Amino acid sequence: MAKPLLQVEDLNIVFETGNQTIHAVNGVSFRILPGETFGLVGESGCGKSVTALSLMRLVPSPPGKILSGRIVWDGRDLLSMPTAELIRLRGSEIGMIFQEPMTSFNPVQTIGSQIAEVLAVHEKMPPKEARELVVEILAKVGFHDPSRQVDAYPHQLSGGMRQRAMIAMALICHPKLLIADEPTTALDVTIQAQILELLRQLQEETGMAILMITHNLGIVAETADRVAVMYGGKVVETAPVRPLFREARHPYTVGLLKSVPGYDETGNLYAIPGQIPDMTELPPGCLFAARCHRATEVCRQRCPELKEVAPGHWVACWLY
Amino acid sequence: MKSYFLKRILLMIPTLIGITVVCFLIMQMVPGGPVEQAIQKMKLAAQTEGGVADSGTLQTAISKEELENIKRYYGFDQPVMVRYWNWLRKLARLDLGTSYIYEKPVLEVIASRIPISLTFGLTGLFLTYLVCIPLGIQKALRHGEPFDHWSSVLIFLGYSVPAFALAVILIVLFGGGSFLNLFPVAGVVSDNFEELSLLGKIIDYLHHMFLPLVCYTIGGFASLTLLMKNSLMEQLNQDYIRTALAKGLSYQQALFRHGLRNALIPIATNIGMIIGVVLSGALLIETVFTIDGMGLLGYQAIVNRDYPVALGLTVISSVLMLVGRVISDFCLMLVDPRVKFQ
Repeated sequence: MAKPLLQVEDLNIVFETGNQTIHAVNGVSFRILPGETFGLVGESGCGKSVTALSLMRLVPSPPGKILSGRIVWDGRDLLSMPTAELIRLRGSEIGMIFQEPMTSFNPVQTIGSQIAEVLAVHEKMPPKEARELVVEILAKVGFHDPSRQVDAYPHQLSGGMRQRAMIAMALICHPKLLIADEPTTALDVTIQAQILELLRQLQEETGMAILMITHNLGIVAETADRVAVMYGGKVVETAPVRPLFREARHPYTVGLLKSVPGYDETGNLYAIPGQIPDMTELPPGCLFAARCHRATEVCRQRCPELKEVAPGHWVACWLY
Repeated sequence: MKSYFLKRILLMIPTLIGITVVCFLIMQMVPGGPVEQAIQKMKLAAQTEGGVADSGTLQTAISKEELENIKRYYGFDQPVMVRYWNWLRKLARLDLGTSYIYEKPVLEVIASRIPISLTFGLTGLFLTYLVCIPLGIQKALRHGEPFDHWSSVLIFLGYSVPAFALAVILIVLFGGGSFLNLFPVAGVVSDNFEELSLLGKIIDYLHHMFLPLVCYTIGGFASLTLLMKNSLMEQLNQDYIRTALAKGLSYQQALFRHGLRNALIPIATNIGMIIGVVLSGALLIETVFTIDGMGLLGYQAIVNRDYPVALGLTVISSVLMLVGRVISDFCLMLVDPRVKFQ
C-alpha cells in the first residue's frame, strides 16, 4: 500500500456554545492516498464539513475545539504544527473549495486579484507575472475570455463560473490535495456535471488527490475511488467505491443507499426512520442503534470499532 | 452614470426651493418679527421720554407714516410671496442679504464664525475616526472579552452624559473652579493674543478650545465605534474570510486585506457629510464656554428674528447636506463595485 498523503487518526472535535457541548466529530480516522479521490458522505450535521475544515485547521475557534487526534500530512502533524508553517501549507499544498462560490469570494475584489493573491503570498510573485498565470489557469478551468474575465467581480459571474474560478484559485499553486466541500451542492444539475467533469480532468492532468465531501451518493459513485460514510461524527463504514455500493454492510449505509430516489423499484421513497442523534449527549453505544432495525442489546451499550470485513472494507457494527 | 449624477445635481434645485419656501414661510409667520421689534423699541423710547403713560395712547403715538417706513425698511410692505421671490433672486446672485442685528452682509457674519466651526468640526471628525476605527476593530477582535466590556462602558458613559453637563463638570474640575486651574473657561483666545507668535497663537487657541472640544467630541464615539465593530464582526463571519485563510493568508492579512475593506464601506461612504464641518456648532457648549460659534449664531438669529441670517444658515447647510449626499453616493460607487447608478 502506498504511503498515505494524509492520515487522520482518532480525531475528536467539539463545539462549546454557552452551556452545551456539541460533539461534532468523534474519533474519525481515515487516510487519503496520493492521486486518489476519497469520498466523505453523510447527512447534514454528521460532521463531514467540520472534519474537512479541521484538515486545514480552519474550524472556527471558539466555539470549535479539536480535543484530540492526529492529522498527519506528508509526515508532519498538522495539529501541532506552528501557525507559520501551516499558513505556508494552506493554499499551496492543500487547496480547498467550498459549497457557496458566491459568498466564498470577496465581493469587492476582482476574481483575478483574489486568485493572484495566492501566488503573491506563496511565491512572492509580482502582480504582472501572477496575472498571466491567472489568465492561463482561468482558461484551463473553462473561461472563454479569460484575459477579460480576469477583471470581473464575483457578482458579474454565474454560479458555475464562480465555482470554476474557485477551483482555479485552489489549484493555482498545484496542491497535492484538493478538499472539495460540497462543491456542487449550490449549482444546477447540468452545471454540477460540468464541474465534476472539470475536476476529474484536472486530477488526471495534475495527479492531485481529491477529498470529495458530499451528501450526494451519485457524486460519490461517479467520482470517488474510496468512500467513508459518516454518521454522528464517526466513520461507520469505509470501502472502495464498488464494494460499498454493491455490498454495503452497515445498516446506515444500506439505509442511505435505499434512500436514493429511484433505487427502490416499488416507486416509493425510502427514508431511514428516526432522526439524527442529539450531538450534545452521546449515547454509550452505537449512535445509529436508535434508528437501526437490527440493533441488539450490545449495540445500545458499547460502541463498535471499525473492523475489516473484506480487504479494504471496514465497518463499525456489532453485526460483523 | 454621468447622467445619473447630473440628474442628482439638478434635482437639488427643486429640493432647495422646497426647503427655503417652508423655512421662509414659517419664519414669517412667527410673531415678533423685526417690524414688531422696531415698534417695541420706539414704544420704549417714547415711554422713557413721555414718562408715565398707558399703552392705549402710545399705540397712536407711532404714526401710520412711521409704521410704513419701518415696514419698507425691512421689506415688509410687500406680500410674503413677493418678498420670497426677491430673496430668491438675490440668492441666485449669492447675496444672502444683510443681517438686521449685525447690520453686515449675512455671508460676512457667517464667515466670521467658520474658524471656530472648523476647529470643532475637523478636530471632532478626525478625533472620532482616529479613536473609533481602531477601537472598533479591537472590540470586534476581542468580542466578549473584558476589554470589550469596559470600553463599551466608557463610550456609553460619554454618549449618555449631556455635553453641557460635562462642560460644567470640566470647568469646575479644570477651569480654576474648586480644583485645578489648567484651562481657561471662556472665549477662544487670550487677551494678549495679538502679541503672541504664530506657534504661541496656535497653542493659545488650542488651550482655549481643549475643554469645549472634549465636550463636543465625546458623545460621538459610541455610535461610530459600534458601527465599526459590528460591521467588522459581520465581515469576519463571512465565507470569504475562510477562503482567504484557506488560500494561505495569515489572520492579520485576511482581516486587513479582505475583512476591513468591506467593513469600512458603510463608514467610508459617510465621507460626503464631512463638508458639513464648516457649519458645525453646538449651542450649549458654546454658551457654557462663551464661544461665538455657529450654534450660538443660529440660535440668536432665530430668537431675534434675524431672518436673513437664519435663512442664510438654512440655505448653506441645506446645500452642504445635499452636496454631501451626492459625494457619499459617488464614494460608495468607488469603493463597492456592486453599486452601479444608472
